[in-house]
Amino acid sequence: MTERSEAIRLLTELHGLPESSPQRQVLRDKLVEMHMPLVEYLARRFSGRNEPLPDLVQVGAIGLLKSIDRFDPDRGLEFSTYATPTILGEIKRYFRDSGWLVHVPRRAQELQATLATSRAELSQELQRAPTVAELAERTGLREEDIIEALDAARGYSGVPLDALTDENHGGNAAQAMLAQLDERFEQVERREMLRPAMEALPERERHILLLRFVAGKSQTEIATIVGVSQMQVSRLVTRSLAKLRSALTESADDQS
Amino acid sequence: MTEHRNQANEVQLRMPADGAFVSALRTLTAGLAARCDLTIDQIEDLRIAVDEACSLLLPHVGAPAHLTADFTLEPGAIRVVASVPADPSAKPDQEGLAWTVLSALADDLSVSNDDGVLSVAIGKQRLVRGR
Repeated sequence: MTERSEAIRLLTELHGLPESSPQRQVLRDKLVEMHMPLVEYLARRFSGRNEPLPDLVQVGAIGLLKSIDRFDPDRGLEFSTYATPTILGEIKRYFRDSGWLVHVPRRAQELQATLATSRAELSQELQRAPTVAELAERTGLREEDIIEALDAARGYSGVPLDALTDENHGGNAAQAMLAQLDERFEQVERREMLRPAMEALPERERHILLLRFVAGKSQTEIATIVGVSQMQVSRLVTRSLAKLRSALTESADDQS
Repeated sequence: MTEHRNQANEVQLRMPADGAFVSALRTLTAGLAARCDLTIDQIEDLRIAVDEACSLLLPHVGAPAHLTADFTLEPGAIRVVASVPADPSAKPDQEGLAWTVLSALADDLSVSNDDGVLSVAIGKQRLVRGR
């Protein structure tokens, strides 16, 4: 109980602070620490699926960070109630995106590829997850088969092969390690680290960076849009990048 | 509660009140939720919710007993009531993480102890009202 009101107190304080305040990071850290048990609990719900638990916890933690940043204390909602779907959403998305390491009955296995494609297409078209009936219509499969295939996908066990671990980890090193570090993971983390740094920039600098690197405009074009000289755009871009760089180095240092 | 109870829309599962059977309940739940045309994400949520409900109920079961799950199906909505025999004063833990997760995933949620029948009722709708 006290923990819940403490969370709300911290969140109210956090959202009342200006974006540049260094105190924000302190509060965010506290909130993260406070809610990591929830993330771990939720991640463990999916741990039967042969993804390493620490990976799931990492992904879930991204959801937690998003929840902390987006939570509106004025709406009178319990924070954990707000955060749970967001954390679960991140974990589910990870499963959806990570490609399945599947070992399932052959028939269901064959359906996986078809289903995964249709599922992605329909999610795009409908802007929400499809229903089983919609999947059936798109794929021409029976609903029963789809449910079975979805079930099968949940139970995927990537039968631990010796080949996947090296000698140091108790495996048989006769074959090379097939596992690879997923570099995108780091990208996701970096992006999450970048977000607060971006938010800390003055409005104009952020706008210019977005025009430059997201919209891909030239400095001259930006100069016209923002109404300053091209030289000034150049200076501002250099300066904001330097700010971002030092903000990222700082938060990376914090983590190690 | 419901104006017209239509027998054709009701499904009941009776199984040993034992963690080993929870997966059967989960699978049935997913199959029925698909019938009600919930999205696959909602089906996943409901599956987790049912799991949490069991983890709140099962500790209250003393002697070997049965858990019953009563489903009411409607187009775009499903309701499941999971019940176990328990002490008439028993209440599920509403402070822990299981409850937090359950209340976040269920669109409607209620708990009752009807003279020694402890129940958790979960509702999930395709379109959530009032949010």
